[in-house]
Amino acid sequence: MARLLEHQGKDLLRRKGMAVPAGRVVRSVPEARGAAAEIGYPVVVKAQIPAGRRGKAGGVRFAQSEEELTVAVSSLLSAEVNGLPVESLLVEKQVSITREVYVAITADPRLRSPVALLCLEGGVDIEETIQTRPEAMLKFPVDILRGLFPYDVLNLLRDHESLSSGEKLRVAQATCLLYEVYRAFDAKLVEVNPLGLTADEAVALDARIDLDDDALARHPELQVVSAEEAGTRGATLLEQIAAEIDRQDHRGSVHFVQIDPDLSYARQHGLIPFGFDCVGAGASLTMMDELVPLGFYPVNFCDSSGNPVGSKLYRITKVIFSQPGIEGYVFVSCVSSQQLDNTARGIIKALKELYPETGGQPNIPTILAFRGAWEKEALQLLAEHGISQGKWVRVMGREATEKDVAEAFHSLYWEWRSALGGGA
Amino acid sequence: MTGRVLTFRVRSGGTVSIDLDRCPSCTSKACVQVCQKQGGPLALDEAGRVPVLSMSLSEIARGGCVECLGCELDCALYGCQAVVIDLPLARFEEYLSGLAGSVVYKRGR
Repeated sequence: MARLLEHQGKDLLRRKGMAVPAGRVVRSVPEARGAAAEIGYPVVVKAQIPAGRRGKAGGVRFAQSEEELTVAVSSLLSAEVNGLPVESLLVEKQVSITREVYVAITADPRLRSPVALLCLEGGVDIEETIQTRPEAMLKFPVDILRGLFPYDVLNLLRDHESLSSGEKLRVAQATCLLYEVYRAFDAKLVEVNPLGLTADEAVALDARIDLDDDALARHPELQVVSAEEAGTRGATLLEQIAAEIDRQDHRGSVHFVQIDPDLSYARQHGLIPFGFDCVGAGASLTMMDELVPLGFYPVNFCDSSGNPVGSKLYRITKVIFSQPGIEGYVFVSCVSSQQLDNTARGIIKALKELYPETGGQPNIPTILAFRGAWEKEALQLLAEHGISQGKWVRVMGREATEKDVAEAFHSLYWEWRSALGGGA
Repeated sequence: MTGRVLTFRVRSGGTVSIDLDRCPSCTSKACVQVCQKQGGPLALDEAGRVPVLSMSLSEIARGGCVECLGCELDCALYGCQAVVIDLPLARFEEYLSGLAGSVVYKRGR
């Protein structure tokens, strides 16, 4: 999923005609002062991070003067908000509004259609509102062939007397603009929370836009860098590098996420970090279930499936081995129809390049479990190229269960540790 | 590589290069054998001496080469080490240069 930062989302809204406050992205106090002088006080200073609930987390500040602005910018740029470092800020004109509402367009998998969502009570704690008073959320399923028109939204708002007729019209027009953005940019979510209502317009005071990363190739003009979903944090450079492997080529996929990029979780819990690659996400999870109780922790998730070409395995194996601090590598395929000889070739080429002095034999405990189509050819290739004969390599075939693989890795790891002078 | 080189680009963004000056002395023609098993673009010339392409460069770049990597690996083992496949990984060097610690394969164990 490609989650845009607020200022990127507002840029898309602006392109479709939505009113957004005047603002500039800044990365320093002098830049912020220049922006505020241009825009005019009072201003809002907002941390640009790919996470919500910034206001509650202290990521949004207000400044009436240059002094207040300096304090706000200095503190935000040196802080983490929701666990994310703040690298840029949006300095925006503070807008006087008469009321605020929540508006979003997203996909409803149950209805198999886009749906417009409105909450007239504003968007503060919207998740709690949905849980406690679901009736407060108004929904309008959109026929994707017909589209969304202002009168659809006006009909939805007809019985809600808390809005004036003028406000209803502004909300309806804004909702339709959001739908235009949703369709034009292949979004999964376009959310404005809050949509501020003034005397004569509706203003997007925030913007959250999640694009469908499978459609990003249709929008090179956006120059969006995307990687696999990794919770609320931004994609690491290594994840971005891995995402590029699939972007160029749709023959199979290598979904890579760093679970513990700095190894802090593994260290905190006394677990042994290792690099991990699986054919099949289900096999990946069952392997984790076997390995974690034995004291190991995969620092990454990777699903190399859908019959990826050998070059993808080559690239992703280099990526996985390039995570600092790993003390082992485990590759396991589920019993799949994937052409495993090509998978093996990719791994072999990578290992030979990473370990030229040993002909590709790794210096860390390595399990290569090939189970499925062309597994015999894969195992033969590993033997022919001298990988199987590596001191710290164990090659396994179809007869191996996930438990067998985990126990083999456990045994090999402690043998390796013992050889290094660091026994159990 | 110097002299006659057969080069083609592949779908994922990389290059296969074959040093044809080495091929006449190769008895296995391992690159062609593995490629033809995959339905790939390599064939032998009429004299049976050096690899040629059985597809256009644009067909290969659209996916005619399945990037199994077999030509390079088999040539290295059974041929005359004439094939080099270059598969760049964008920004990878930038990543490595920015690491605080060393990666495991650069440690001398």
